[in-house]
Amino acid sequence: MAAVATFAPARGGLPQSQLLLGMGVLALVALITAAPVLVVIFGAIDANVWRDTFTYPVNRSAIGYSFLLALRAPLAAVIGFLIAWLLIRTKLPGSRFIEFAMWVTFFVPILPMTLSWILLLSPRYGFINHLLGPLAPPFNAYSIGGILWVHVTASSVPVMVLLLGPAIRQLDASYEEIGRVCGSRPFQVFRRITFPILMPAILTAALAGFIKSLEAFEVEQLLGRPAEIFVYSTRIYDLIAWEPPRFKSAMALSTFVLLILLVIAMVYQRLNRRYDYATILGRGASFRELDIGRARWLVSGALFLLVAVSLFFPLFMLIVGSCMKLFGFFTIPEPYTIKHWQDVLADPLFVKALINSLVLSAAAGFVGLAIYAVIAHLIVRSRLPGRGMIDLLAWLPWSIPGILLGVSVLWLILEGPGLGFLYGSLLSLVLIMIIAQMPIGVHMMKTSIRQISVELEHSSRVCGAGPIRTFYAIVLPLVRPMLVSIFVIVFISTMRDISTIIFLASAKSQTLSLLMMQFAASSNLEAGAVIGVITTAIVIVVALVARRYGLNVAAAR
Amino acid sequence: MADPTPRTPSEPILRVRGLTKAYGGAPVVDDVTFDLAAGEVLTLLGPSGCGKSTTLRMVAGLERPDVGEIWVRGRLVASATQRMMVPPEGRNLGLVFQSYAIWPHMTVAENIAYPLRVRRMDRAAIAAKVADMIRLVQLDGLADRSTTALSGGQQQRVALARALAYEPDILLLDEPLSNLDTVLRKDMRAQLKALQGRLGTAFLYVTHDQEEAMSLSTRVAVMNGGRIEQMAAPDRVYERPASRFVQGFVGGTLRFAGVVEADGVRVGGSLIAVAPNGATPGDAIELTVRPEDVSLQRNGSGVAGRVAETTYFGDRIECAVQIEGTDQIVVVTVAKHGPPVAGERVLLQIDPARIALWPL
Repeated sequence: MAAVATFAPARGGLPQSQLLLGMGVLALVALITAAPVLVVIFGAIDANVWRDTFTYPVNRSAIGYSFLLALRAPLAAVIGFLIAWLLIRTKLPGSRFIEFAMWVTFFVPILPMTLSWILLLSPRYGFINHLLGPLAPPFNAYSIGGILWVHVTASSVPVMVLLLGPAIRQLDASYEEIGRVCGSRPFQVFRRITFPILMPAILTAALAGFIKSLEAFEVEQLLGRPAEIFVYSTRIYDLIAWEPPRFKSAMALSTFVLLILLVIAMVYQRLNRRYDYATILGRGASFRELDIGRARWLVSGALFLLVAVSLFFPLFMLIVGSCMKLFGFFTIPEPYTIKHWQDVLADPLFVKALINSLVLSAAAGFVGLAIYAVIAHLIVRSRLPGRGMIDLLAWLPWSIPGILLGVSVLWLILEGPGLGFLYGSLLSLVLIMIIAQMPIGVHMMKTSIRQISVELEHSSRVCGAGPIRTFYAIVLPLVRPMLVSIFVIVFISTMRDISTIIFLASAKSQTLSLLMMQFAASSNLEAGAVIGVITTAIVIVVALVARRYGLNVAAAR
Repeated sequence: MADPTPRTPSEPILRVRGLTKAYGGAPVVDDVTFDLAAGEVLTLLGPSGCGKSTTLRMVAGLERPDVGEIWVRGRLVASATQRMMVPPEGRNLGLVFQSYAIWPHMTVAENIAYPLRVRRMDRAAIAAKVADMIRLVQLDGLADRSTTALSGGQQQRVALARALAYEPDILLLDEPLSNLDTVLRKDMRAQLKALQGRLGTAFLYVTHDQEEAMSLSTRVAVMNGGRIEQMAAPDRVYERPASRFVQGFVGGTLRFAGVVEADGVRVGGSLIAVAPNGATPGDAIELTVRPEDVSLQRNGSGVAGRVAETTYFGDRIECAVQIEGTDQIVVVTVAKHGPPVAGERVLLQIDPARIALWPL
């Protein structure tokens, strides 16, 4: 029988032990989420630094370019929503394959895709340019258009399709069916009913994409730098890569960006307030597919073309590129070789980076999972004081671009008392990835825990099991499908990540993604492509295994 | 099991004193006190929001009382003044929820075995006990079935088996039959009663269904607004309700507005010979009676009225009668042969011994 818990008197009617636990968790979450933001804001309090930073034209144009490029998010949200609707609600030949391809694209890292598009659209040796006109190359990867193209195809649109799909699935199909009965054609139904009803979801997705786009780093670094296009993240990189690092300027720039994000969030709230009917979505939606007639062949063809252009073609070209003597030069005699594969695989740096990447991703996945599960459970189930605050703070890292998180954690390690031992260690990378993935991890866990009835836990307690046993014997098994999903997302995100960890990694904690970046930035594109193929393969295999496992779990329940 | 003092037969198995709980300032449970004797079935009966479930949850250890004490088998398990609270797992109670709360990731047998595993019983003993319980609740052959494939009645029995497997001191039941359809509910009610008789486990039973309360309980505690309005044997609660609320909540009630006179109570144009119960003549008073204690007559004595409407229900006919000289209408059930017709003058004959008077 469990021990009698006798508690000393405390304020607020709660026993002191619980009060302490609540405060402890709150302090911990606040420390790891709010500290980086506070470091940035307080680090930037210096009028001279502000003046210097913002009179420097490159800094100003970087902010401008960043927000210009971020406009791809609302655009992709609308396109992605339309595609998701077509895939889910209309009868399309091959829709399952298209959906699957989108799902794979969602996970594929963007750096290998960028290399592939360089191979195709470089003004000097781009394969497509070469085919179209050897004299005046019509396309230039190193431009705003090139950056946008890579982002939109490889990331923005597939992300939006995946993000908005569930919203469409939840929408009761009878809203649309009534529209049909009232005399609307399928696309009128989409335009006049589905789109307006789900406007709040689209706005939210667009905002999320907007904020996340400020995080983008590797595409801008590879495609923007040669054309002297700098964005916020690449500017921060330069400021910190400076010797000595110009922390204050970086923080001033970041504070300004955070302010703009705050304004955007407020505008979003105001916009969203108009849609107070967002909760009328039906449950247990009936599910019928609209017949769009012969247009389905056209639509299906267009979507096949899209996934071919955004996934299969660049993937194929990446593999081709990794086997070329000289990246992109198809016309030299005997252009193909496996030398780069042999070189890379034999390189001790590569082996080290591969091991680091796998250890880092797995550690961030497992440890993160445990932390997110505990935090989410506290937020959803406990009556601890300050749990609302914990909930809010757990979202904070979401608004911080990865590179900024990297800068402030680097600063904390350098300046923070007793944190020096973390410098350059793999442990510091594990920690920062757990922080960076906390919003999505905690959010997914919360959703999942909310779905299980609290009485399942209460029954276990009354049956004689303590809180810890109840947590691992009842709660965790019930959220297992979600645990798998969160692990995979954290694992893959960590595997792909460059901007968050770039300042924290050292030679001994070099990862595969950073090594790839290094090769790509030093014009060793062939070796970069080799690592790109390997990273992409790892990511796709993990995603596929998880998909199978996740599906099995879903079928067994 | 910590039980320092030997238990005397008279000592209650559960003792609740002055239990109070408020949410956001509004009291949900207000000074609730009761005892539960070994082998007894005590039902907390009341409308939703009366505090019955919250009381049960405090006994279970799922809520912390603001004021009051709870003892289980003479052991203090919750005390607001001492700020101590034994967590649910330390109380050795059984609990059945309205939703059953059967764990979907475990089979029937695993659900029942869980509390035994928690108690570190050895494997063979667990297997034997689980088999026993499965037989007891008549789930033979379903041991390895996934619980999600069970019907409501079967889930209910898994919940019962799980809660009883470790022989808890008290079984707490929170509206256990409310999710079943009418036929199944009657059936399960009878089975529950038989099971309780066989095992002799004390039940603390929460329901809003007065029929369940009447048929299952040793005693019924009728709750309203967080307080116990009356706690007594079912027949006493029905026949001698302690308050207007109890009268109205338990069983059907006919209400008449009347005025006290020297030798009775005047309702409309008729005088009912009933001792006015200390009320002074001239006072307005409410007179209530159970429907079965009223009969409709065409002649004789009684409260005079006129039939406003009759409604056919198949098994009975209901007759709305307007009391003469007032605009009060009472509805009385009449026999199916030769019912009165609308407009007919009738007399409501009431047994004066069955009348309750409520000063207004």
